Amino acid sequence: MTLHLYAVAEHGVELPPVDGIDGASLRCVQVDDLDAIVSDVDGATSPTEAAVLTHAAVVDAVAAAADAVLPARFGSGFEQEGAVATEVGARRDELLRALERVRGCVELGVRALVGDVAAPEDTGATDSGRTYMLARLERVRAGERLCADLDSALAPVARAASSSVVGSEPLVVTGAYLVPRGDIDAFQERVDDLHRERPELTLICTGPWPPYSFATVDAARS
Amino acid sequence: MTAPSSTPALQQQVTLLELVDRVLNKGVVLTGDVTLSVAGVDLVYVGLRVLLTSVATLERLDRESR
Repeated sequence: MTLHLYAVAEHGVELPPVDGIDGASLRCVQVDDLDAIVSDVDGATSPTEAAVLTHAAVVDAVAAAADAVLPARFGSGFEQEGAVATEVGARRDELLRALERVRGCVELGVRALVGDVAAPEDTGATDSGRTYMLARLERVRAGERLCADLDSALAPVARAASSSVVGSEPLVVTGAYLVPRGDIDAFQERVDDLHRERPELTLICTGPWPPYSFATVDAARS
Repeated sequence: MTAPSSTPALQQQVTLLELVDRVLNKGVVLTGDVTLSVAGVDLVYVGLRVLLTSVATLERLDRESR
């Protein structure tokens, strides 16, 4: 038997009335003032579509009922309950800091797409290597500029921000913003403003999400 | 949430993509719980690449329809 981990929250978190992967019941593994939300699975969990969606649904439901929740990345599972307790205990301070960081906040996603950025021209054989590399460089720079533009427009209404380039043809940038629940409308207004200023961008907002992007080790340490 | 430029279909595709990306690539990791099978992850990402391509297509359709 294996334990699949969904999230870490403060002890006393309310377990939502939803099933875990393969219909298993959710339960808490308590470690001092923290609860790890888990369910039993047979063998290692593999990231099938159904399992991934169930994981997300459980994290959503837990986050809806608690002020501060750290979603867990989909993993292969722990062999025994003691291993969960040991790992949570070993990183207690870090987890508590991360919980403070996300308290009262949701994560909002913004994906920006731009077509036709510096499309490489067919210049024939002469100098094509150099032209190709320059075009690639321009794509990288365009991606960095778009990340910076998104962050400068949206980060002021967020407690934390993180953006990265995820595709070059078309140029796609994804940003994640940690926003207090009360500021979601203000954030949306900023997105609308940005779209008015940059009509060439296709902007797609997603969320609110539980704060997946701000529950990572690096985010917790920064 | 919706942005002014997105169609419902595009919105839905991107939401699914962002969901999978979050569940598999973000979130807190505890030691002992990180060994996803490469085959399993690859399978999911093959699906994601298909999705990404369809997002690009939808984006084009979206712009052409305006």
